[in-house]
Amino acid sequence: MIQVENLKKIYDGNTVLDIQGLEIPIGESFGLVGNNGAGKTTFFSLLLDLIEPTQGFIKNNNVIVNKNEDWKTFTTAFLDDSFLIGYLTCEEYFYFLGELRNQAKQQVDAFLLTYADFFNNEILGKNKFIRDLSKGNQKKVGIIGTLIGNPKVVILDEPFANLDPTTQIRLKKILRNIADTKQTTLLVSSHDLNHTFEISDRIVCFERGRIIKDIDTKQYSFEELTSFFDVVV
Amino acid sequence: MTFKQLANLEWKGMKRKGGMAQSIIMAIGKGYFGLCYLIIMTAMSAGLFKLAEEEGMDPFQGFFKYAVYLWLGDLVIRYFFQKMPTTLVKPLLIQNVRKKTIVNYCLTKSSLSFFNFVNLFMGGALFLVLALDYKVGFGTSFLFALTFTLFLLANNFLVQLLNHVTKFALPFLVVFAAVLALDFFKYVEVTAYTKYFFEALYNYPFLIVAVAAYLIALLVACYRFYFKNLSLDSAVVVKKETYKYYDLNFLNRFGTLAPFLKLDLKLLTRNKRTRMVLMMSAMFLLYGLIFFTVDMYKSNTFFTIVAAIMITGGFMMLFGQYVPSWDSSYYPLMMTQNIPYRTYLESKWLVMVLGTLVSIILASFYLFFGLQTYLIIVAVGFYNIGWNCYLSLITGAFVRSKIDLSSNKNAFGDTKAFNVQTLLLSIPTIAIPMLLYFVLTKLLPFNTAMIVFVAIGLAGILLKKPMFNLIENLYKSQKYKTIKAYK
Repeated sequence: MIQVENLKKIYDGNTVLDIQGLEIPIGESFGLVGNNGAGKTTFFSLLLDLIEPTQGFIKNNNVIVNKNEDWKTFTTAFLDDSFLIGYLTCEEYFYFLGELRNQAKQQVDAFLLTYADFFNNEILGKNKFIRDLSKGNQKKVGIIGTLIGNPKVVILDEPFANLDPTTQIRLKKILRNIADTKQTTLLVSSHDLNHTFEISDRIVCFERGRIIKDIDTKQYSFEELTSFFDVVV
Repeated sequence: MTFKQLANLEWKGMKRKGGMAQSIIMAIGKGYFGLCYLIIMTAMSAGLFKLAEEEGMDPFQGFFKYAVYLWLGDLVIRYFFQKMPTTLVKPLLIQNVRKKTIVNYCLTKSSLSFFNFVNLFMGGALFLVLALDYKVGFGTSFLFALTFTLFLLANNFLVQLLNHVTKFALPFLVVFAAVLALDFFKYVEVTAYTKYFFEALYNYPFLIVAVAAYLIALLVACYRFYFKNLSLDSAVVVKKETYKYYDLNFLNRFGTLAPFLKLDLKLLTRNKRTRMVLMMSAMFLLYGLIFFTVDMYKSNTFFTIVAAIMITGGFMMLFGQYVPSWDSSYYPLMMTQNIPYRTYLESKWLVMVLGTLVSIILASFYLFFGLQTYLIIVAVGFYNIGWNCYLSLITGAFVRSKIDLSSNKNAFGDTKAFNVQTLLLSIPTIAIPMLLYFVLTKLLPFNTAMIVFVAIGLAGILLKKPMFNLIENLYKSQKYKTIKAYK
């Protein structure tokens, strides 16, 4: 479970994030929407202890993230290309992550086999360094990398952006499957309500660093949701 | 877009770069070194005449003979320290800026380099000495000084070509090294031939035209090179690098550190920038040859110890000072994976220790210079392992410069692995063991002193736990700043 307590991030007097309280239960598929600059990435960065909260804290499965490193054992994330190591081949990158998460090479190989469709024959066995892949293919590698080793919490920032339509659909299926197991807490941000609606149990909307909507997706149709968010999204 | 706007952009880029405070200290250090260099070079230009006189040569003949070393010194120092005129090219390419403007701007920027001012001072000193001390006619001395200055200034462009065009640099360096070696071991006295060149410049002032033509030719070559490479082609088109698979599984014995060791080995071998570090380390390994072969230094153990630090610590210094910056392009990944900070740092430490051990073993060819020499190298090597590896990690925590590992991707990249900053940070690394050595050998007989030296080094390894507590806390306190600086 992720608990946010009175969290604030202020840059030079500008409050970019201000969350009184937020709870994300274990196994929930959590969608985060909002315009540019709404604070989505800031929130994820705080959750990953990449930036320091000005006030308050986030608890990830009872670990206060900026006090203790233990959250790293069950959390994975892909925010941007700084989560990729350019001079490794894709396989080496996956094995490296596997080693960090106590997965043997064979386990990683078996895991990767299940995503052969998603990779569309452009990633595995190519002996190409990640830095030589196209942006979209790099993103695929990053996203799949987060799923190695059955993490309890997976954080993806704008996973759909820059992907081709076919891959977007495949990714939605993958994420929906994970969400349906109810074992992994999935946090996905997007500009696009369409994608978020299909994979999330719950959608929260940020605007200027505050939560302005918090909705259970099962209770509404997509049209109703659209009208809800029409004002801001 | 004008020069002024480009300069403005650059100024903003510099002002808004992270780590201002430390760069001020660096600037002071750089200023000091710069001033020393300026004074030395100027004094040398004027002093060559006197030097020759003291050696019993005709002062003019002496100058003509040794002038080539002034030129060479200028070139070598420039090669290692002159910053290439990098500029923010990518976002400008599709804007309404003519390529010509960008290239001209870069070349203008390079011509404002500090080293060119040093050349002017050298030329000035030469002129004054000729005109005042040796009463050579005003016109002749001025023309010769000017010719000489132009010849030196050409280095400004020569060094840019040397830095960027591998095809050009490699044969140049090989031929150069060969000639120097021939001269050094007195097979051929090169200066006896280069003498005629400088003498001719003096005797036939009209040759200034030839020197000017040489300068212009290099300028044009630079211009053409930049102009041709001012596209993203080289960056965008995927150049498939041959990928080598090494079986690194033998490293698994290092347990939790193994994944990082393997990663660091790949880091070192697969990136232009880090390969440079390996190459430089190899050069450091040969550093002792200078000290052990020249008579002046041979018998002096003080120089032996300086050499020993460089021989065993080259890799440690070059690699260590950029921990964790080597990982800057994927630092957020490292910070969110299932890795305690300490394990990460320990693995970096281990890389340095292994590198130093390899250096010690490779340095065994110094046995040729006597057992004592090699023993000093081993003793200092252990000191490096024991203490300087920590020191490198500590200084590394404060060097937060984002490193573009694949900086070979466009012509404007800065591939320097060695700079003034490196030099400054190396001071405590070198000064402390030197002091220690000095004190120990003063107080104790040589062999005992060496044993104590090794013991102090080993004590450092035993103190790993408290040292790492310190380093870990230091790095943790810098964590957010570091992530921000790498953005």
